[in-house]
Amino acid sequence: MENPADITRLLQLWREGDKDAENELFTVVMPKLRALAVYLMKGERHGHTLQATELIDQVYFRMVGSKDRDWQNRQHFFAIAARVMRRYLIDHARSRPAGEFFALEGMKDFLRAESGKVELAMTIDRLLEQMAKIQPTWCTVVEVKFFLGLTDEESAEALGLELRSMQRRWREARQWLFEHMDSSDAHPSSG
Amino acid sequence: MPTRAQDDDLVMKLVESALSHPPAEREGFLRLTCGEDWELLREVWRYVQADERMQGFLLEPLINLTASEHPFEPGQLLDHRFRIMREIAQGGMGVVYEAFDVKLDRRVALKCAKSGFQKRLPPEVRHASEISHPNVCKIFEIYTTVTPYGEIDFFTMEFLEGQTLTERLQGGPPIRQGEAQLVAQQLCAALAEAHLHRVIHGDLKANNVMLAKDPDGDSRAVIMDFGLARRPSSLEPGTAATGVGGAFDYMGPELLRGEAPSVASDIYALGVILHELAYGNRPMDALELGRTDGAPRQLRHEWAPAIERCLDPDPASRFASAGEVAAALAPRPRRSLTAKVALGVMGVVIAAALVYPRWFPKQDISSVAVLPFVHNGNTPESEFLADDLSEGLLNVLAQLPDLTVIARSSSSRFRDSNLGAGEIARQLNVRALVTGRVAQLDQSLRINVELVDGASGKQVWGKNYEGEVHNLGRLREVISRDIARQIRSNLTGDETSKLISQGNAKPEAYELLLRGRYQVRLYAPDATRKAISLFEQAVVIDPQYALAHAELANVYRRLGSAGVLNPQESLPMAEASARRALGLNKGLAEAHAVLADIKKDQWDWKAAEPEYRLALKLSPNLKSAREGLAIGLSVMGRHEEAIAETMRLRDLDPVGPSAVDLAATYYNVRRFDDALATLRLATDLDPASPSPWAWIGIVRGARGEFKLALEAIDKAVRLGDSSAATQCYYIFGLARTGSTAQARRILADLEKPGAMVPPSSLAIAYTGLRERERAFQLLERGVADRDPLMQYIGVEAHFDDLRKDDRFKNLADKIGIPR
Repeated sequence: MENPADITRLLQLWREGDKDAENELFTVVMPKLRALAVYLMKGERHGHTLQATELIDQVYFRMVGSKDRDWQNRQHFFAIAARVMRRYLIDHARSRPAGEFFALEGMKDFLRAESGKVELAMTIDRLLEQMAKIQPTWCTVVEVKFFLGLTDEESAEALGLELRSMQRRWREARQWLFEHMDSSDAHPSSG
Repeated sequence: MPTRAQDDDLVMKLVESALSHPPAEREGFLRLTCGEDWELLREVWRYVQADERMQGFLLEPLINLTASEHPFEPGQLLDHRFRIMREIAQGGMGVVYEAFDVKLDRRVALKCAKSGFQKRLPPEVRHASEISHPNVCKIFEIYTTVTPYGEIDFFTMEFLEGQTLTERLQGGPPIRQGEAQLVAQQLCAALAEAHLHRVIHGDLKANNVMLAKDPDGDSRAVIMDFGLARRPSSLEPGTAATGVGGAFDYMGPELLRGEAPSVASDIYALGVILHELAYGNRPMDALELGRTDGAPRQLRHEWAPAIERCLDPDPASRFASAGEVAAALAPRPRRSLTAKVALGVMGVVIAAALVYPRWFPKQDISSVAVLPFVHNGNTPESEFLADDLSEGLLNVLAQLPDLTVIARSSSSRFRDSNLGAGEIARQLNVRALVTGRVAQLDQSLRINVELVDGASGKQVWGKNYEGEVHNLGRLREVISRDIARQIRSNLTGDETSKLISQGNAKPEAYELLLRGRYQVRLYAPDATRKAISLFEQAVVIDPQYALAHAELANVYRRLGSAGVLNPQESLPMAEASARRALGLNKGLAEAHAVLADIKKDQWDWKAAEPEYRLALKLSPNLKSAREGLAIGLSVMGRHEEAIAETMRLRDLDPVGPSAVDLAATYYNVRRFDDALATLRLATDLDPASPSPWAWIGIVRGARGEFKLALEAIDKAVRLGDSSAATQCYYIFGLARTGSTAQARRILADLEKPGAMVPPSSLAIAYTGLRERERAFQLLERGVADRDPLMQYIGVEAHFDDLRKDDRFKNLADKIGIPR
């Protein structure tokens, strides 16, 4: 599956709403995002080391090759990367890590130390399933902001949106989630 | 027609601008800006309101990949306006920079949150920014900036040059009276002003007070960080410890209990700072170090009553305002120290120690009670943790020579008590009390332990300990060692380490043992089963752990008397465990005591008595051995000795459930009036406990007062006594008052197959119904079944009708009790 054409084709199919393509992308992208995950978990980023966006870019260009610099595909690659992180983190939080991935050193500590956050993440994950049906673009914004942790600028750039448009969707999505928290057995916590 | 993107741009810009205004001004700002465009106003207003509701919800990414210890770097320009010069300080939660405001051409201090803490500032900061007072650090403005690490809030404030009060107290020449007066008055003024604006500081401490050197050379005390405090409960997990640090010392007891900061809690913190100014240390340290050198002596006298009142554990008893504190501190003609303190157990100490340092020779302590430690949480887990500490301490003290240590069943009655230390000491009849409070934030513990003189209710000694939950065992050892040395100052190091070694058990096993004992004390069948499992785990982890084997023996025996197991099964199991314990440590008092109980239940008084005596020789404070011995002696007809033992028992457990054993002994020696008096006291102390009522019923029945007997037993049953034995006494009363039909109905239930009712109890019911033959049949069966309760038939007044019968004398001979 290392063939750049495959990634491009899968991204194309996914863009058109092909659910199988998403699953296939997952298996391809997951191992490739290992470096990103390690990077995210370790929390040792002093000074100006690599940013998450740079890392995803690197993974993307290595996978698709330098020829195919399709910006739309790149944006979708970011979206899929965010979804990968979401699924990955949630699976870990549920203590059933995805087989294709790996156990991370930092993960255990994260789960132990931030149990409140993990609970919040599980609730958000459940709510996103609903949100994906009504507002798929909001859902992507939440994945990029909350699960991948990109800044507003990075998110806007990664998703190919104007900054203010991204921010507005982010506000809408947060409001929607906030209002649906109670119905989902969890309480919003500030932070 | 604007495009969607243009619309987004406008709406979001307006939202941000509105949010940068104080909440009260936002609507006005928008009305002005949006003009006639109601549509736009409604849309923007919706976002603003949602933002206020959400309080930063979801803004922190799941994984903090943008976290940084140093959010900004020197040279960086923030918001096109603030040039970062240098990092000044890293506080518990935030980082402070010196920055240059290029727009206004002035130096400012700039503060932002540190990683792991909310990057959003609490809304209170905005209120705090409204305070303008020379002694309150002025907050200029609040901004949000986007950094490579994400969005982050920061605010600018007055740049102060000088040192913190903590630095001033720790270094430099001693504080003179005039300087202390000035600082105190300024702090009071600052707090009063803030409280006027309804801003609570919440985290006032010497480290938050800046002694600023103004350009004209004057010094002024400035309180920083108003509105920044977060309640411990809202701290992020795992980071709480760093946020706490010395702050514990400034927290009033109500904050440790988890209540919200208030004017009163700020006054408490102010009191701690005043103490530092007057004595050179915090009240807690003063207890331990007694170090007051360099502090202005006169000030101490003048300020002591005011400080005491600021530190009152009861928030309502403190000064109502900082202005009142200022008035109380103002220099005035000398006056005598007459401030009277009437305090609860919890905080006595702090205030008392200020005025009365060590004053009575501790060698005089001949009796002591360890009160249950108070924990700021209220979960079973926190209660267990506090109990773990107080019980460990009690176990150590109980081994000290010539010291009466009140049994925990009595001392635990004063959990959450509002009584003063003096009153508690009087009720328990002890010379001294050990009290403690545990404050827990996440995994960190702060434990304050105090030794209080019983006569005066004043503190003699106190010390603070800090540590982590996983080091509880070690903390317990250190605290036990310190207290043991306070009570017996002539203890050698070897003796001390032997005392605290807990039989050299493995720490995990000891932990399990304490957990098991906790379950045992809950007196519920489920809890007993849990206790067995915990003790069993303890002996698996540490098979050499004699005490755990002894505890196991005790619960097995209890299962027999609770009707869960047949005594013929339970007693041999219990004995095997007791013998194993003695095999490992033949000097273990608890093992001898439980073996004695087992022997007594097996009617082997000859074997039981020496075991009781040995147990008491090894550990004179062992309550269970005293109880067993007293009752055993009464059963054997040795009345004088029995009464003497009950007196000692009462000293050990003046207000605990031993009252029932005491009453039982009186009953056995036919001192019914004394029994009733003891039981009445027990019902006063604990009206919800069923067993004193059951015993009142038994004693009344023995005196022929059946109506009163039935009333009392009714009450016991309503309170939860469901034992078959109690019901048999009830049947006796019913039968003797003519309610024979009802008596038989209840009896029929008790005799259903499978009901494990001791035959001797059924015999009481049939004696009540005047069915002698059936009663004797049952007593014979009791002998055959080796019913432990058969040992009491000799002293059981309800059998008096049968006593003259030769068959009864034969039974007594078979059991080995006097005829």
